[in-house]
Parts: sequence; C-alpha cells; structure tokens
Amino acid sequence: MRSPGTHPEIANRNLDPPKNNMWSYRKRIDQDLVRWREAGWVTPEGETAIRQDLEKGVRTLGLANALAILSAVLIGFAVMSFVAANWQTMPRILRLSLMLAALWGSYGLAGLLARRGMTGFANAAILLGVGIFGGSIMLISQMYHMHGNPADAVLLWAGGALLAGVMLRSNPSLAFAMVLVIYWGVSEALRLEKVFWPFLIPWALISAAYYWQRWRPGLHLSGLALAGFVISLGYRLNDGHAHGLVVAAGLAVMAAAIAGERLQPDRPALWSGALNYGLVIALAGLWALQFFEEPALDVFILLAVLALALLIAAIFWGLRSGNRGALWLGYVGFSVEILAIYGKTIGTLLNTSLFFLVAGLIVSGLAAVAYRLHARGEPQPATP
Amino acid sequence: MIKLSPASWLAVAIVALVQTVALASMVYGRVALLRDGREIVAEVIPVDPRDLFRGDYVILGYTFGRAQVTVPEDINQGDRIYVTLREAAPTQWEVVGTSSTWQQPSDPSHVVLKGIVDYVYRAQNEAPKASVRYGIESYFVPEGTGRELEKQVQDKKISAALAVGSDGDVAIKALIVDGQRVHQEPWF
Repeated sequence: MRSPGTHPEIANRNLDPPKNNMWSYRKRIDQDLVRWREAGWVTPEGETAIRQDLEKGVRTLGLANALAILSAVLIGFAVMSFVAANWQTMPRILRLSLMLAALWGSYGLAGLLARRGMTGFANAAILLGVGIFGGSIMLISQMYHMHGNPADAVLLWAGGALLAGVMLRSNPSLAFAMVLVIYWGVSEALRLEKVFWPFLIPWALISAAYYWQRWRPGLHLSGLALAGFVISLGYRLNDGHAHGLVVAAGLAVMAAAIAGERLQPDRPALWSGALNYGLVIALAGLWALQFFEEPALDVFILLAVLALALLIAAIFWGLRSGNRGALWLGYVGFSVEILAIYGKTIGTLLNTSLFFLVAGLIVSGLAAVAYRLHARGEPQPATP
Repeated sequence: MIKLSPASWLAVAIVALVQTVALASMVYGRVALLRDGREIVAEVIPVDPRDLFRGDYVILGYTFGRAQVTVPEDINQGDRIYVTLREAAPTQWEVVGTSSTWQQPSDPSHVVLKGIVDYVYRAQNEAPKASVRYGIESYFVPEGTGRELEKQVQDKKISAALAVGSDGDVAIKALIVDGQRVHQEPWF
C-alpha cells in the first residue's frame, strides 16, 4: 500500500537519478521495498541486505562528507575572525606569508585527498582554500586601511571561488561563488538604489559552470537568484511600480517552458524547473500588485481571481506532468493567497463567514478536480 | 576532481597561483601608492566625538567629504567623482571644484582625489551637495589600543597623512596625533 499523500503519477516517475537526491531516493525505496516484498519479488533476506547497503552508503560517506564541508566552513570562519581580531603585533610580511602558506596548503591538501579518491574531503579542502582567499582579501584591506567599496572585495572573492570551482570541478565552491555574487548584487543594488544590471554577468558565468558540471542543485540556485532579480525589478523600474512587467515575465517564462517541453521532451527536468521559477516570478508580481500597490476593489478581485486560477492551473499541471515542484508551489501558494485575501478583506467588504463560504467552495471544487485526476492517474493494481 | 592526474595537479597549482597573484597585486598597488604618491596632511574631523574609536578602528571624517561638496548637476549616488582640493591653511584642505572626469589641476599645489558619491542632497535653487567617500574613512589599530588612543586624542587635534596617486587614488599612511605619527608600519 502506498502511504496517503503520495501522488501515484509522481511516485511512478523517476524524476531524479538516485545519486542526486539521496534522501528522496531512500524514502521511495523504503516504500517500494515493502511493496516488493509483499509481492514476493524480493526475499526478506534480500530486503535486509538492501537496507544494510543503503544505511552504509548514507551513514558513513554522506555524514563524513557533510561534516568535512561543515568543518571547512568553521575553519574558514576561524580564519576570518582571526583577521578581524587584528593581529598587528606581527610584521606585515609575516602576516602575508602565513596567509599564502595557508592558501597553498589547503589546495595542496585538496590535491592529495582527491588523489586518494576522497572526493568529499577534497571538496571541503577546496572550500577551505576559497575561504582563506576571502580572508586574505579582508586582511590586506585592513592592513592597508583600504575602506573602499566592500562589494568590490566580495566580487574578487567570488571570482576566486568560480576559478577554483571550474578548474577543480568542485560543486561546493561553485555554490559558494553564487552565494557571494548574490550578496554582491544585493549590496550594490541597495547602495546605488537602482537596478544593478551587472549582476547578470557573473550570474550567467556561474550558471554556465553549473550546466557544464550537470549539477542540478546549482541550477536551482541559479533559478532562485534570477527569480529574485526579476522580482526586484518590480520594485525598481517605473518608479517602483513595475509589478505588471514581473507578472508578464513570469508568464512568459512559463509559456516558454511549456513550449520547450513540447519541442524538446528529452529534457523534462530543465523545463519543469523553468516552469516552477516562472510561476514563482508571476506569483510574486501578482502578490505585489494585490497587496503592495493597494489597487481599487474591482482590480483587486480581478487580480485575486487571476492568482487563484494560476495556482489551480499549477496544481493541475503538477499532477498531470509529474512536476512535484509545481504541485507544492500550487498548494502552498493557494494557502498563502487565501490567507492574504482573508487578511485584506476581513472587516471590509466581505464578512468573515461569507469569505469562508467562498473559500470553502473553491477548495471543495479543487478537491473534486484533484480526486478525478487522482482516480484517472491510479495505475492498475500491481499489488495483490 | 574525481580522478587526479598530473593535469589536475596543474589545475590545483593554477588556482593557487592565480589567487596568489590577485592578492599580491592588491598589496603591490597599495604599496606603490603609499611609496610614490604625493603626501598631504589633512585635518580629521571626528564623526562622532563621543565614540571615536569604535572597537579597534577609527572612523575618520574630512571637511572635504561630508555633505558639503558641491557637485555637478548630473551626478548620482554611487558615481565616481574627482574632487580638486587646495590647502587654505596648514592641514586645512578645501574643495576648489568637482568633476565626473579626471582633470589636471591648473595650480600644481592643488591635489585631486578620486571618490565615490555616497549621497546627494538636492535643494531648490542651489547646486546639489554630496557626501563623498574616498576609501580613507577608517583606520585599524592594534587590538586593545583603541581606548588608550582615544584618551590620547581627546582635546588634541588629529590629522591623517595621506598618499595621493597621479590618478587620484588615495591611501592613509599614518595618523598624526599632536604632531606625532602613530602606528605607522613598514610597507610590507
């Protein structure tokens, strides 16, 4: 038996290669093993052996690598706080030499670990090297009393992280590069108080590296960063009232994703990801129009209906195409939208009970649609 | 880095080398400026007289930086600006003019500093005024010596010895408290 809440359409589609998503893989195989044993395809001994094998993989390597990355982050922070603590009793040349020795030491350690096949530890050592590079930038700025634009230092650091990520094919370093570039873009946008278009250049470079590495979590980071950038345009362009443009951009991305899925069906993950980020952008724009711009009541109702229709379409699409992201965005977005409408309208035009009645009717309609889809999507019983 | 071949060792070396060069060029640019730049001494105005030494660095204000620099009409927040100064009295530098492009000063005793417009104040029927940041607004002191220096500084005038490069870049060489240079370090 399948646990409730798992959509059959989705459970049957192998969206992620197992290694990319260890946790959801484990969850799925847990459920499948029970089913397979009940069907008599797997002996109880076989099931135990498979479970032990899974445990070993996750417990040892996964945990060790996660701890190694965390330790690199911690040591990186230690280096930076050491810098902040102003170790000015040492001559400058000694301070510089120590920093460079630590830098070369980290990358050398990464090389040794990679040579012994310890990829996870090697990645942690690379991340440590990148951290020391950033710490050194700050140290030099402090040593020479450079109080220029701190964002420039962050961009230089991001450049170092990207270099290490590409040359050494290290995904954690590439992820860190994107985090730094996001920090750079946000701080420059706030400082200049306008749209900071140069953000798109390093964003595109790092995204290209993710694509080249075929690293899906990285591409999600890219999608998230770009969605945030597009949403911010709504608050910057046209004197801060360009949310209509954001909605249009989001819908255009969604349309392109649907068209792309038709034209090139061999890359479902790319198109479903693009669709979900388009949805996020369109919803953020719609929410700004509804709750930030304070529109007239008739416009507000129109926008709310549009948002709810879009969310229901997302849930529908999620169920039909096996796009789990769209499904969850639809559910969560629907709840948030209903709550937000409630918050805005309570005590004004609609009274509370009428609101709940309308919302209840909408949701029950949705449930009916979902039930029909569920029933249609249910495969012929494979379990006896 | 799944398999490490001699080529990967080369990649490791390239990463470390490029990052080392980036850091070295930061240091070299600064040292060249301190060594070759024209030295001027400018009076420092405390930003917040009650708390001059916040932690272990000093925030420094200058008469030619804070809210009083008349700037061209078309200048915006975040823009680069070149400010020409003249020494009206010893350590008292005042603004002669500003421009958004580098211009050779007409009088050789004048000095041009490159800065970034921090904020523009616009008033009716008046040329806009701006706060300008030159990158010389903080000075780090050894840990634990901030408070001591603060006591020393009270009622005494401080000034900053600045090195100005030929392109307007500017760096702090040392702080001068009561005629004495404090915490000046060798270049390397």
